[in-house]
Amino acid sequence: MSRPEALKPPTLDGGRPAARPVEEASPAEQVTGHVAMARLADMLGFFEQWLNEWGEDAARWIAFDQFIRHRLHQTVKAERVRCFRVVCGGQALESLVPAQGKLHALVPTAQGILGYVATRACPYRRVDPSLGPAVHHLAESGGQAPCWCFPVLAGSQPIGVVSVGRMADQACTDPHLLAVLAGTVGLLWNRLLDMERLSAARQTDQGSGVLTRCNFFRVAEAVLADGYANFEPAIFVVLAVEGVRRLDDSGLWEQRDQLIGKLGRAIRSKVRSDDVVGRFSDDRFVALLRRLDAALGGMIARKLMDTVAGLLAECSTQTTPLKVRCGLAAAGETPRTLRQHVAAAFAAAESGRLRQVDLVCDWEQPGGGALIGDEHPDAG
Amino acid sequence: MQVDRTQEGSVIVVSPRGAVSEEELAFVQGSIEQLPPGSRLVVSLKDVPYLDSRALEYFCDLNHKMPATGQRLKFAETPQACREVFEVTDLSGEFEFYATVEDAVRSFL
Repeated sequence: MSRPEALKPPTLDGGRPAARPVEEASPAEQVTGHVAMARLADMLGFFEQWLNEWGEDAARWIAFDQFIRHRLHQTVKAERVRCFRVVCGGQALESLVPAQGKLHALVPTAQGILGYVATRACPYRRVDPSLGPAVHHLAESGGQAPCWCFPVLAGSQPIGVVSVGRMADQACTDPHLLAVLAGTVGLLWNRLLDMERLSAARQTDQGSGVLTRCNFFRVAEAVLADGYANFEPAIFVVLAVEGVRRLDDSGLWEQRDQLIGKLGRAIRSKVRSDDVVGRFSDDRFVALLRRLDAALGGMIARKLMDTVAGLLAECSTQTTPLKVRCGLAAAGETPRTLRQHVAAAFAAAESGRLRQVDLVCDWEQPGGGALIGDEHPDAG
Repeated sequence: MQVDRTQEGSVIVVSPRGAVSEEELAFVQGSIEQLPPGSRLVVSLKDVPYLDSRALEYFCDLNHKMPATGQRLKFAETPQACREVFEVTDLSGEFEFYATVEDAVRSFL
């Protein structure tokens, strides 16, 4: 009988070949400690090669899920393996593999054996006599009860859960082997997270913590293409801070650096996790806000601008006044290139500066004109 | 646009399938407004990739029209993309969010 597609080693996802041939466990082979340890060593060795191939790929978590499933099958003949990451501040679990299309189904951590493992950060084993009947009942209440379920930890914090439906009997009764396996999966999971962080840090402007201009264009290009393909609207927001140069001229370099860092954090905190934010020059930030129509984009841009204005008011002095202006461009029914959208948002911001208006958009408002919000005389 | 409507005990669960924007909103409105006044309502956003400004406005209006029982509109299975729209517009406090339909239904008890 052939194994499920996801467990086949040569193509972990998308047809990419494995770095080296993988030895298949023979069905008759006993899962003894020695055999399992040999497979574990193989898993560790293979992972580094795998990481080099998949570390920067957008589908790396899906491939990682397959990697774990395949390797657990090899090591302890695990079947029905599912990997979840902890999301929503520990309130839910999300499968590493999208359930349907782009949307991930969430499993609440308040219920079920997965939730028990995630919230208590301790493993579940069907044959563990130290667990009370209530825990076993919990495992059986959700339909197909897992035979083993373990948390993935970062320090003492659960960041994921792996559930195994079935595995070799010898492995089930060997808690030490399972503890080593769970620890190894955790190690690899954290290694992939570290790679992801490193990758993000390489693309990030060190002063503000948002994307550099070059990386903004790279990421935004893909996001915009995706939006066009799915007929989703998007809004480009330019935030131009005036007066930063004065801080430099006054020798307030430390304050300037702190301000840029605060601005980056503030902007990042006021947009959604899949919006794209970049720093274009010393005092100009650009955000691509996905799946927003003009009205909602304008509302969010106004809130973003108010946040930045509040921050600038704290740092502003009589001799070094600071001010923000906002330019908006909508990516709607008329397809434009990324650079055209960014240029349109910059032109709107520049138009605001010339007209001494805080926020200008490049589309017509229902009542006529292209302004959002109140006009204010330029305080600078 | 497909909008499913199911009944869980005394609670009506409305589940739109697809983005809720200007054109599709009428289907959601139609499905909700057929309900008798005072119905216990849960909106599952599981299959909604995004909401536009009119959809948000509609849900805010609907929330304000809820009977004066201190109840708020309950959303279930809200994808992150939708949830974050409520957060960045400072509207998340106006509604109740539940991880599952079952949790949302149970909250009426």
